[in-house]
Amino acid sequence: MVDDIAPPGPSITLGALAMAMAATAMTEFASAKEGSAVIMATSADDNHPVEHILDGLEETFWATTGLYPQVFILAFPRAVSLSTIRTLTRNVRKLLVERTEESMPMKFEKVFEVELSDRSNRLQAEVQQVNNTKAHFLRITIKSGWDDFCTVHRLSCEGWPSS
Amino acid sequence: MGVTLRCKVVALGDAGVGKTSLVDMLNAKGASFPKNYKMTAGVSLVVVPIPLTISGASKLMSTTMMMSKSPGLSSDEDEPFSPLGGGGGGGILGGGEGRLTRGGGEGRLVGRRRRGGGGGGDGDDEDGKDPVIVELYIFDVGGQEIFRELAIKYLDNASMVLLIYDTTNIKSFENCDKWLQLLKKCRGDRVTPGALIGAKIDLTERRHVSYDQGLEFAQSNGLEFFECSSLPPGMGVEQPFLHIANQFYRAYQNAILRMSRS
Ligand SMILES: Nc1nc2c(ncn2[C@@H]2O[C@H](COP(=O)(O)OP(=O)(O)OP(=O)(O)O)[C@@H](O)[C@H]2O)c(=O)[nH]1
Ligand SMILES: [Mg+2]
Repeated sequence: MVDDIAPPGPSITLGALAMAMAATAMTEFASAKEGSAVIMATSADDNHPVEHILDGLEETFWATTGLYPQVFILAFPRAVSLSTIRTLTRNVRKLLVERTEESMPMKFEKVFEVELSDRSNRLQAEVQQVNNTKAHFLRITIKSGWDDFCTVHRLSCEGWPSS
Repeated sequence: MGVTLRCKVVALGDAGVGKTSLVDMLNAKGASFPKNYKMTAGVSLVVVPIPLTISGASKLMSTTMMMSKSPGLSSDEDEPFSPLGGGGGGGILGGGEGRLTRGGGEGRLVGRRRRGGGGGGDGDDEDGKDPVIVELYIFDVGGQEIFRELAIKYLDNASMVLLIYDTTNIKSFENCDKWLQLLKKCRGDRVTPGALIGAKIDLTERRHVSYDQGLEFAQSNGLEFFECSSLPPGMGVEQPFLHIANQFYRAYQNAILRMSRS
């Protein structure tokens, strides 16, 4: 296989370097520190509020409280350019992520839709490369679940400030 | 804790057993009790909010739950409520272990005016109790055979079932098993917890299904058993709904525990 025969050194080093640089330059935008906030959510349990999605902790979570779909909208302080979206959830089945660059969260278009596998209450880690998707708002829709209830522990949106 | 839960309930059973009458009775205190049978064409949806709150110890239930005209409850004293039948059925609710379920309270009915809006979590009680509201989204499925295809579409993501038969009609009791099979098929073999209800017990002379027969069928299918009359003033109308609301609340607590542990 082509991959087995590694091309000579320099290109690898350069590639790795470029990646490392890119990685350090990337910002985690899905965090309260960056000024991002969840501006609406369809479930509200005082013990498991939607703010838990952005607190950076894996243990805390937003719990959905029955019925599907379940939706929340994440607002970035300004339009950003995203490269990777990660989710950490339990019992989510169909997940839809949409975006808009507009300054009002009205019309959304699809970024990706996935069906996660049933891990019977254990954490589901999903990673999507979304190469330079521009967004001011993300709308996350849990279209269905593997249980009556599901949880979202983390949402991570890495990227760069949008030029 | 302050939470609004939303529970999809399907009301199933043969045509004319009294599904719509029961839901109307809960919702409108019989103001619209249909003297003449009017079949439900397709499926109709009624949303009934059942306010509960957590009490430290479960007290005995007061015999009458005062349900007001509006879906909310309007009497101002707190009626303690412990779920009927204690232990609770099987299914997703199994296992009473765990801090929240054991020591923690049962849901109980609170008589309190409902706050406006569809149930966000804000504006908590004056006296500092944490309200739990279970909104029952009741899908009243027309029992007539011609609506069967349509009915099936509503079954797959139901969280709870109200299976209803007419105590004066043995055939409607025998068909309960068919309804359960249908539900099971639509739910991909998952068990659906809920209640079995024998209706029209005011027609004592014409009763054909005994209490014990109903109870036995309910127990062998993991359902809680109730009998009721929807003929005004009504008898035992609220209990099945309160049971379901409590059961759903406990299912939520258990789900949170499960997810916190695994
Ligand atoms: N005496 C008496 N009559 C009842 C009671 N509940 C319902 N009925 C009567 O039974 C008939 C049918 O009731 P419905 O509630 O429409 O029955 P349903 O199960 O909704 O029927 P479908 O919509 O066709 O599936 C009506 O004529 C009601 O008046 C009851 O508790 N007591
Ligand atoms: Mg009907």
